[in-house]
Amino acid sequence: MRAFAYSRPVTLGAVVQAPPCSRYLAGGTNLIDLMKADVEQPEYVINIKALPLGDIRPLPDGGGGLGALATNARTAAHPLVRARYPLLAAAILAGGSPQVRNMATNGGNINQRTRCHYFYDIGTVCNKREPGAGCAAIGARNRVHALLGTSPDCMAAFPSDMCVALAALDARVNLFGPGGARQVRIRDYHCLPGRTPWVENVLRRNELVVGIDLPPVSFGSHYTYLKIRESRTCAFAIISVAVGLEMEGGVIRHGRVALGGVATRPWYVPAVEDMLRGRSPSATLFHDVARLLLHGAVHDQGNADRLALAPRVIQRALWQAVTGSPPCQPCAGMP
Amino acid sequence: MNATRNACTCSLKVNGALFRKDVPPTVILLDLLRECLGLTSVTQGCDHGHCGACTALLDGVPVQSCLVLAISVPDAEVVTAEAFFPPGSGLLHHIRQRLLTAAGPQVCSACLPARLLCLLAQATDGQPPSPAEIEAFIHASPCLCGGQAREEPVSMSRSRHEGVA
Repeated sequence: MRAFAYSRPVTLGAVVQAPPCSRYLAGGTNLIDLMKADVEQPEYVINIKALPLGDIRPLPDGGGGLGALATNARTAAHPLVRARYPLLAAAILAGGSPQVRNMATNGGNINQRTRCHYFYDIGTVCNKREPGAGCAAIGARNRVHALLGTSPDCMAAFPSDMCVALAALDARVNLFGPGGARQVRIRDYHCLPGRTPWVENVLRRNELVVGIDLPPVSFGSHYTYLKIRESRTCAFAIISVAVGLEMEGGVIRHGRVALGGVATRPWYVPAVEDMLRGRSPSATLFHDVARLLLHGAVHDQGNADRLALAPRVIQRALWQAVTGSPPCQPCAGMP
Repeated sequence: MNATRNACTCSLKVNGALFRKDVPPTVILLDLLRECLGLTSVTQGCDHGHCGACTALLDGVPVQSCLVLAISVPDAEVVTAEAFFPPGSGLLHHIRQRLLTAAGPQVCSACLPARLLCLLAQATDGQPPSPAEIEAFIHASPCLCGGQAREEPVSMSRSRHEGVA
């Protein structure tokens, strides 16, 4: 690891005055790993763990507020989250290992970087590491790479599980920087790679995530987070699906679906809400939902099997949510 | 902002003993525990936070010590497997032998201290875990740095009662 200057400010005002080439350190599960791999080479490491951003509380509008420095483990175990946002708890618990969740923070989870092998391997070219260098993943071994939202410059998948649930819940991200505070929908927070894969989110210089606001709509009864992966723990998604439905008399009154592991950012298609609204669950409907979600998907030579797998996983997740069965359980009502 | 590249004071309580030393900001907690304090139950496995062999308890919760800057957790309480299985006591060896007898060479010795440490961290009531709890835990926490063992439940009561915790 390269040498860096270290500080541990205790106020937000001091944190956002960080010099150029700084990185904020919270849980460290991604940043320290990247610094060891020499992918991140910060001049300054600003430890923000002394900031009072660890609270989890109900909001006046009936929603929930998550502090950026609350750990993933604490968030998933919190009574507010467990009772009202079980979809979020399920997604968090599907990510990493217990040890990692004890360290990783909500703010860090949102800002984590891709686990693309070529991004981590400084012996290869990568447009995220070095703008304009090229993408070593395209045309190479790329089974875990994205199918949606890719560009000729990057096909790295966004790895978070938590953010997939946040996209389905339509959460808001609270930011604070030298210019003050602002709020961004989680669906707008992460950028598509386009011609600038190194720009991964809408954070401005020296801004940081200070919290996440969850809306009152929580999908407490009909939800699922279905994650397909190659190992039971500490494995990133081949594909994950977050589904939240509001059912009334066997009809879907309101529903949202988000995908993870297959896209360059948490993948959300607003038109799916309209497609689900007022419809009765059926194989035809869910087939159409999967097709709409995967519209525009492009596979490379290494990940074509996942394009075949994805619609089946989406449909299974929707049936699980309809019956209100626990996450990752076979669905009794599935045809 | 006051930032420094110089060595900073690392102040910890490790297995009940105070530790204070100036270290460079780049020092990782795993390396400090092994190389400065000789606590070799904390093992370097993947070194990227995946395998869990480097698990230590940080303020009571299991973390991957390979991803922690030593100076980033001032005045934290760190516990390693040595707190429960003192070197020379033979307790860890006893458990390992029983597991090896039950499951054969598939048992991963490298991360066994870390896995037992995770189990002990759950025993918040001070009571030793029951065989059923141990079995459930072992099934729910597969070894990630070696072959998954089909381990037989091992009572922890001996190690607890024989004077380590």
